[in-house]
Amino acid sequence: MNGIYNFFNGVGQFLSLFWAAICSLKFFSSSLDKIFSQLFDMGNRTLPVAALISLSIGAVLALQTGIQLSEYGIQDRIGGIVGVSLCTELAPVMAAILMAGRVGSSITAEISTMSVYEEISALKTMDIDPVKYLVLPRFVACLIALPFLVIYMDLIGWLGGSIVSNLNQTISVSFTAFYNDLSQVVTFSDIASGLIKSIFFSITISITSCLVGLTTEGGPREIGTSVTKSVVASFIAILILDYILTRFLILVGLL
Amino acid sequence: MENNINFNNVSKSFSGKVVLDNLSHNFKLNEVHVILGKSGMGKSVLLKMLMGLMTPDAGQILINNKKLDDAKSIDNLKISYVFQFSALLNSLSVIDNITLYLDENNIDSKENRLKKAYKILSDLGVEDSASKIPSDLSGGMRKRVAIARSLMIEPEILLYDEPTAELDQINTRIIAKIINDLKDTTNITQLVVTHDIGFAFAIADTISILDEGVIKISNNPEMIKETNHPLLDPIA
Ligand SMILES: Nc1ncnc2c1ncn2[C@@H]1O[C@H](COP(=O)(O)OP(=O)(O)O)[C@@H](O)[C@H]1O
Ligand SMILES: [Mg+2]
Repeated sequence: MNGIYNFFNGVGQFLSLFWAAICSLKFFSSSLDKIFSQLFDMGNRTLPVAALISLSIGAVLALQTGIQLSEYGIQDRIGGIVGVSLCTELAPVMAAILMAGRVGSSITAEISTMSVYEEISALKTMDIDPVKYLVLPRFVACLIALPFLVIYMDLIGWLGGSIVSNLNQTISVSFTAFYNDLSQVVTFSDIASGLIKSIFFSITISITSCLVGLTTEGGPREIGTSVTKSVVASFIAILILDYILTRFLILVGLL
Repeated sequence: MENNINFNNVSKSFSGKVVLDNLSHNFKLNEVHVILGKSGMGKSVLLKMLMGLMTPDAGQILINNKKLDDAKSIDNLKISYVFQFSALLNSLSVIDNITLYLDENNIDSKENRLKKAYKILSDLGVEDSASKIPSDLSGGMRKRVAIARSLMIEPEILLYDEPTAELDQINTRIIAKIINDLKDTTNITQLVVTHDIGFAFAIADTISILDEGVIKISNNPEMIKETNHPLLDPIA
């Protein structure tokens, strides 16, 4: 009973903070420098790891499917398969998981520390709305950063796939053949589906991590608990949302 | 009718535990009022309600007979709060902390904001720390910066939550001097919560004792001394 209450309470708080963040968008232009500094920080935290992850996912994907395909002599289809799996599913989900782990956790750590040390209360005493001051820049920066991260991981993943397809003796598909097939198979709507997913993921991550930070109460010990809670909640939400969004995108004919 | 802050039958409980129990009291404006009380007696809760950071379960708080709803301002009467652990933003330098209120609310020109900030910092003797990060300062310096931040708001009422907790004697005296100087040079009503008895007597016009959810005694320091209230016994 308590669990169900907590769940719906959490969803309610999420929606109300989301709405507050949307309303605070009217302060967008006066928050530009904060948004840029968040973007810079997010890039620093994610880009190097994202390159590593997508390169290796692309490579492993090409290796596994390529060898299977070569048994039927259709390894020249590898480009399309790697291309589509990456941009519709793997890159958006991996980017979101990475964002939640690296960026969401640091947002929660920072904001829950501010809650515990009464910095949030101090903002209120100065007539400064914590949503405008803290949530808005992170919300907007996440909304910009995650789709970019997905495209970045698409490209590097494809590169990883093409390198392995080219170098592996069994597969042995040239770069030109790989990208030829990829460009024929991967449609604009495949890439768009991945980006649509990433927008939903980004809202989930930024709002969840800010919400958990802002609602942290008690002593410094709670900071660690909050970070774990925020990352786990984001992971679960991302995985459930991914399924729902995939169903939806198939329904509307984008996938 | 005299100007005052009036707590009218204010009650507050946390999960069944009564902290303030039908507390009624008048605090006169334009003086230094010290609230003494043992730890956990609800001193911070009382201040936070006056600041609007917490709402009473029952009763009301009136300032000059006007109801305090969200404490932001009544007829532009401003209240500010010096937090127990200073609560400066560690993501900003000292000077950015000080100008934050003016910056975020777009008050005054950038140049005037800085001028005002440096004036207040130097009045409090911390202008050398302007470019430092709050977490690099000593507790005493942080407290002075926190007071400077509150003064930037130009408050009519200034609340201090245990301003000398964790400070040594020298720093405690510096804070006492700041409060006394403000008393002499401004009309700011200062409400100070503490359990440091020596400090209380060094600054107070009026001392009140908060115990068991209500204000038990309230009087000038000389009269308070004569009550021999157990809380005044330093060993208790
Ligand atoms: N936000 C809160 N949630 C639950 N209990 C609280 C909260 N704030 C204060 N309390 C409780 O109220 C009582 C009084 O707290 P406080 O005003 O901080 O005491 P103090 O006089 O030491 O400042 C304490 O028992 C404390 O546990
Ligand atoms: Mg307290």
